[in-house]
Amino acid sequence: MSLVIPSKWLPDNNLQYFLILKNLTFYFVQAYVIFQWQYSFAGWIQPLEKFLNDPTLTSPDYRFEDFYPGLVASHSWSGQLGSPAGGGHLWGIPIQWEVHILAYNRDLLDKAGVAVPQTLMEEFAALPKLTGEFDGKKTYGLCAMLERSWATLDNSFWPPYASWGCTDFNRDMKCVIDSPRSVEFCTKWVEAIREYGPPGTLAMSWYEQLEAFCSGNYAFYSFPDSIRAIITDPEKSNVADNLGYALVPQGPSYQRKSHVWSWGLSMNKETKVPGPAWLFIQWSTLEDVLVKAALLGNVDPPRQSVWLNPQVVEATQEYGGRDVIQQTMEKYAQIRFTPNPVAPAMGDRFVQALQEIYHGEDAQKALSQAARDIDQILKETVSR
Amino acid sequence: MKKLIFLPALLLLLGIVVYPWLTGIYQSFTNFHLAHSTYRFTGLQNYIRFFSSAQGLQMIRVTFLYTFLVIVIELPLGIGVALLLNKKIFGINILRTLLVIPLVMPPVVSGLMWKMMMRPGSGVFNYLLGLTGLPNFPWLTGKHSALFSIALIDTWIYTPFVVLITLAGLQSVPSQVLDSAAVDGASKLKVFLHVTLPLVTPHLIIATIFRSIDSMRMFDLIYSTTRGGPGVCTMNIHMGSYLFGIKQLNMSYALASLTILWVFVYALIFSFFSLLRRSQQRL
Repeated sequence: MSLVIPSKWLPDNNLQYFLILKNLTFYFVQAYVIFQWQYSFAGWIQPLEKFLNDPTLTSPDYRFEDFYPGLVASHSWSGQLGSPAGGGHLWGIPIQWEVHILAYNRDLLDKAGVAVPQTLMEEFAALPKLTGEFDGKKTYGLCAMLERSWATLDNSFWPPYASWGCTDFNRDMKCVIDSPRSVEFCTKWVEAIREYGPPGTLAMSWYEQLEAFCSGNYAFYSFPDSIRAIITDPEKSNVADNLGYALVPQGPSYQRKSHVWSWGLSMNKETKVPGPAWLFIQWSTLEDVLVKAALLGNVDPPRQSVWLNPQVVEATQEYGGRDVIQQTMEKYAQIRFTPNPVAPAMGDRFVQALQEIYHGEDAQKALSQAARDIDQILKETVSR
Repeated sequence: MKKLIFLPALLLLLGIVVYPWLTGIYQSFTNFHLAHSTYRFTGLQNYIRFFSSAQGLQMIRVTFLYTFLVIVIELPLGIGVALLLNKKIFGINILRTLLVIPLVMPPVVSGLMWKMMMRPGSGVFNYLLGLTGLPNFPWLTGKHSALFSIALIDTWIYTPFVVLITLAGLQSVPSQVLDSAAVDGASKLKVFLHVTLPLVTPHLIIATIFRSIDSMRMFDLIYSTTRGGPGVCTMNIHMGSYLFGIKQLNMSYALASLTILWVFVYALIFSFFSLLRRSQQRL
């Protein structure tokens, strides 16, 4: 695979020299999808399809169709509130992703006589049996965080919330986290965390949640799969030898919805050198570059060909779960945030309400107030 | 001509302090939002919203409660430790050197370190409580304990600062004054209350001023431990401003909140300075 570099971009016939001297790195940004929505709405980044579709700028070998369609869709948005991801402009080229699957501690499940849950109701019912003392150690059914940050939604929350039939905004972009179904789920979920989850979950970040699961004292962990290398490393994880993976459980209406998180490379709207910036983005996401990255630890490459590359398969096989991940990616995963420019703030406020419920606030009241605040934040952002 | 020598410094001050500050204040009276390239004057709208919202009042409450807690704990503790370190005993210089270790650590690192120690499940504090038969305590996750726990971390970091200032004051007390009080038959307590304390009061006021300013605009410890939670129990004005400006992109509201914080801090400093002037007049 090769890239054709126009000679006008190579004043010294040395691309690396040029990139460093011109500080080209400041002309693009790696960002998670929800931030790309924010940046695109604010006009800080520019659409990439004009570069992608320009044969003088994009190598014929680039094969953009090789990228997972779901990832490309999440990085595409019209910028119009209420329109779903997948249309409009392309704001980023995916470079890394992760989907949520269910990890479980086989040993704990065996000792408690609990089968791998297929539904959330089964999971909730199993939690009391898994929480207590096994072999003299304190165990917990659920490994879930509830830190006051939008990252909480991205760690364990979205799959069960979406599978329960809940979402953040309706088609009119009114926040609906206070719908009866959402109130029902949030009450159950928070109660499950309070009774069967980690102590100190309200101040638990994603890496503390990961450490907690690695302690071997937790049964279920709906987790982003890219950290498999850590939980399967016997030096870092007590659960490495007892680990099982499964699809995230279905909701009451037999819906199974996972969540995908994707990072992409975007281009600064103000860049003076869009061509070379695009060239760098293109190079970073070439098949052979992504194979190298996968072998160095980027275990979830955005190109299907790289995911199926024999070298990558061999290198990532030891972490397990490839079938579950692939099935999740193909059938159940999509970004669960509704595209909007204030998704991080929405997440923060939503989790604040979950924390208030944890501390005994009425769920309907806490979520209704949060929904009103989120509507207000969104209104302030879009109206002038 | 001699006055011109100050011109570069003055220009620098105007450029990097006064101009951004005035710009910030002006923008707090607009609807400046990072998602939009233009903005217009909206008068007192942001300020009215702040003072009329439960969220704004909660942030004011947390800001002042935190400052009160910090001062009430750190000042007496600092005086006590300074009195101990003022003794001429073996190894005192090593103790004085060790004392500043918390001060030289980045507060975020201290915050994360203490957060780990305060973890209900695996932290050392609850482990020690468990040894005595006491149940887990929700240090940073309890609705009523989170702010106190952060104040505790603050105490560990900044009490040495109070100690250093107070120690400087204690060492500047003339020994003749103390000797003559002792010769006159005053007890140690009386000497401390009626001689030492009045003489170090200006130092204590200085320490209080600095600690008040720092604790009113506390951000790093709160961000690294609770991020303002649980709920909004530890959400002070500075933490809230960060969320308004950086997460919600609503810079004008963030700037209004910060301007309000600035007014509070300045009002407090002025009252402390008038206290300092009065104490110096008495001396």
